[in-house]
Parts: sequence; structure tokens; C-alpha cells
Amino acid sequence: MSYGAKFYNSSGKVIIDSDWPNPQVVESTTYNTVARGSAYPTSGILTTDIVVARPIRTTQSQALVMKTAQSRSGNLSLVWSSIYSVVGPTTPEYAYYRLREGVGTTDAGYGLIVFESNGITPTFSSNDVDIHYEIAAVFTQSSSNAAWFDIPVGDDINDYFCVLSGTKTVHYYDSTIGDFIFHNGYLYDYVNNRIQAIGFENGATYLQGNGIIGKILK
Amino acid sequence: MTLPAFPSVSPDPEIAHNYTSDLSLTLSPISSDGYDAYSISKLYDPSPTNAWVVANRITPVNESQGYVTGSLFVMPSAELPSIGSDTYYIYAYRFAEGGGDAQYYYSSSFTITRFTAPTFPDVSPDPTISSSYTGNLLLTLSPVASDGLDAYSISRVLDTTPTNQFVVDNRISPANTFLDYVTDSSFEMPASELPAAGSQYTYYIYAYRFPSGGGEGQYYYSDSFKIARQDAPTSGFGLQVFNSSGVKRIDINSALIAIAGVDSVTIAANSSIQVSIAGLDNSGVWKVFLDGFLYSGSTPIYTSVITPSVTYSNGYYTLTNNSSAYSWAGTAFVYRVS
Repeated sequence: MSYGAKFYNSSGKVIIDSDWPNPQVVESTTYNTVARGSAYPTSGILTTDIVVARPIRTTQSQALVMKTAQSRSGNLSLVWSSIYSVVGPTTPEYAYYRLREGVGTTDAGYGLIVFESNGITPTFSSNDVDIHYEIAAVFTQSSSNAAWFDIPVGDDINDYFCVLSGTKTVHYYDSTIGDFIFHNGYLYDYVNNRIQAIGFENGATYLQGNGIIGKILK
Repeated sequence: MTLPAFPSVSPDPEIAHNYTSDLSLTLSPISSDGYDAYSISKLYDPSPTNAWVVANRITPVNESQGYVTGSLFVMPSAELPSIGSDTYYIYAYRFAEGGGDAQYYYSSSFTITRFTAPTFPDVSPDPTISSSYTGNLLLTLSPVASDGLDAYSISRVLDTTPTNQFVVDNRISPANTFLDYVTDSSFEMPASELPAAGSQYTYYIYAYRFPSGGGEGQYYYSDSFKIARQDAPTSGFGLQVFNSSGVKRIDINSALIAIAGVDSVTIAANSSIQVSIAGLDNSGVWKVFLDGFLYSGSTPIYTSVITPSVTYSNGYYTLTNNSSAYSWAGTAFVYRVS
């Protein structure tokens, strides 16, 4: 970079870069939950928005959060879809946050503002990080056994949300075999206080799915 | 002449302070032969005329005639008391076909009582304490009931429709009373329930109205607030960001997600494509997530799923479709994951 600002974390990796906006929370469901299979959000979503979600904890020991897509009988379109569950309660609910880039504010009375290289768009504002999303673990799809992410001691599993963007899921109906599902998702294990990014493709080709697990700081 | 049965509603119904539905009432005793009609009015006349009853009766939700012949009378929600109690009067009528004189008679009365709501307080603004603060923290709940007949409990566990047992099991015992709740505005938060330096807790207030104050003896969720404890900068290098309460929000080891691009891509069978993103390199801080399908022409293939492989290079990433038969189309989400 020829100018701008770049900040590194203690591991030497970039956390703020004037070329890459840090997304801010534009929608949350702190109290309002999303029912199984509900479409989300109903309007105003951009393809660049990041949706991070988790199941609402119930008495069940496990619950799955994932993004379902369309049925064969319906319209096929690779767009934001809905959250679905195949594990745990039959009518689970979910909480989610929606993050969007380029919505930072510039009128901080104090603190730090970093602009994109156009010098106009704020890529980071200290006013906007009171609620934000921090990455805890990143998983790459593989045929190996899925690795568990253990919730750090002292943390609440209910603060951990998973990125649903790019978690491919297909739910369709076949007249011969009925419902058929391909999916990637995240399994919340409340008994052992851990989360797993899992992937199944037409059975169990991939045991570990793609995914990002992170913590909402609020 | 046969007289109608003269039913009553017993015991007198009570409804929650926030009850909004229609209310099912059971009239008893009633005539079993169906030749009686029972009407209910909020007006009293010990010897009514039929025209008076017709003019003043409440139309039940479960019958359109303005009367019922069975025991179920569904009272419309609009006829329920909005506060306190209302008295209702039952009138009974026997049709001539049943040997009656086709005349309404006054039967009995009953009362429906709506419980009194508790006052729903908050703690505002959210308190902030210094990193060195010790001892309990006195909070002020507002507004609160002035008659002292509400109970207010605080928990760090949220339930918007709590049971009393849930509140009892999870509430914090204030330091300023031997009870687990307060009945006035002062709630002394024990030091042990305050957050550690650099963090904040969210607390949830539940309000209860004692039956002696007209309440239903049930806890309701009221509001939430936060208590934050400031933190001092730590040694090391990197960036720390504090909010206006002095709570550290980003630390030197934080990893924040960033969006590099969202690309719609199509890859022919057994082919690769390159997608350029300025600044992308192979340092391992980037991650491409794929959401798509295999296609035969424009028809999606559901029974075969082969996800393209991804490699990273300076300034671009490469997607390879390993299917020998089908093209792949979908969306690539490119995130910097630190």
C-alpha cells in the first residue's frame, strides 16, 4: 500500500486495513428469533452482507445451524436463503447478526477512523466496534474428521456465531426418494461446550465443512 | 310452563394483566334439550323485557345470534375489562317449542378481573465502573411502584416469558436486603456479580406484582441494562480500541473479518478460472467460500456434488472444477480472516 493505515494483531496478521472495510452490524436478533426454515432477512440484504447465526439453546444437547436453499419444485437461485435444522428440536429458533461493509461513521468526537484508499469511505471507526464480530476459528472443507472448536473457558457458547455465507446447502424433493439434502453447517454441542463445522455432500463425502466460527462482542 | 335453567359462571374468572385473547366461559347448569337461550350483558335488570336484553346483550364469539344454547360462551376480548373488574349479568330464555314463555329472566352475575400489571423498571444510563472499583454497586431502578407491592429481581439470564421458578433459580441476591428481590428503587449489586476489568455484563430485570396489590403473582421480563468495567491498556504492541465507557472492544490479539469480494463465477467441466483481487496474496489470511451447483447446460445437478478446489496466489485466486461432466456455477465469498 502506498498510503493509508494498516494495523496488525499480536500474531502479525492484519486486523484493520484501509483497503478492506471492516463490516459493521446492521441487523441483529438479540431478542427476536428466527423460526426453523424461515426466510431471512426479508428485505434489504446485499449479496456482500455477512450473516452469522447460531441456534437458540434449548434443552436438547445438540442443534444445527445452516443455510438451506431451494427445492427442486421451487425456484433455483443462488441467493441468500434461510436457516434450517436437522438436529435437535423440531421447531428450533435462531439468532443472527448481519454485517455489512462500508457503513462506518465519520463523526466520532474522539477515537480512531480509518478511511479506504478513496479517502472518503470509512473502513473502520472506533464508534462502530462496540458490537462486532471477531473470528475464533476458520475451517476448510476436507474428508478428515471434523475438528471441534472448544469454547474458551469463561466464554458463553451463546456468544459464538457462525458465518453462513458460502455454506452451500441444497434441500430438494425427489419423487422417488423424497427429501434429499446436501449441506454444510455448524453443530452446536451444548453438553461438551463446543462447535463443529461439518459438511455432508450426498452422504458424507466431506466430514469437515467450510466455515468460520466467531464471537459477537456486544 | 317450563322455566329455563338459570346458569352462572363460577368461579369468577381472572385474566392476566396483558391478556388480549377472547375468553371462554362455561355456563352451568344449562338445559340439556337445547331449548334455552342464554345471553350476557354488562347491564343489570332484574325483570328485563326481551327487547332490552336484545339491545344490551354481548354477542359471543362462538355464536352470531347474540345468545348461546350450550354451555360455552366465548367473551370477545373487547368486552373484557381493560383494568380492574367488570360485572356481567346472565339472562335466560326458554323457547316456546320447549314449553317456555319466550321471555328473558335474570339468572345470575359474575365478575371478570384483570390483574394489575407490575411497573416495569429499567436502569438507565448503563453504569460504568473503573477498573479499580471495589465493593457493591448501588443501582437505581426506575420507574417503580410507589405502593411497595411490586418485587423486582435481576438476573444475568434472559427469558422474555419467564416462569417464577426460572427467576427464583437465576436471580441475583441484592446486598441491601435479605430477600432475593427489592420492592423499591434501590438494588445493591454484589461485588461478586460485577464484570472483570475490560468487560461488561448484561443484566435482565424481572417485575412481579404481589396478589395483595392486585397482581397475578407472576414474574414478567421488564428490561435490560449493562454494567461495564473499564480496563487499562496492557503492554505489548498492536492496536487496542476502547468504547466510550472505557471497555476494551478490540485487543492486540483480535482478528476481524473483512470482505474482499463476492463474485459470481461459472467454470466449465475440467477447467479452471482465475479471479483477480488486488492485494490478495498467498499468506493464508484469505478464505474463499463457495455456494453453488454443478450444471448440465442450465439444469442443476442434484445427485452429484463436486465442489471446486481453491488455490491462492498473489493478486488472484484460482477455482478448479474437477467434474469431468458438468460445469459449476455459483458464488464465491472472499473474506480476509486474519
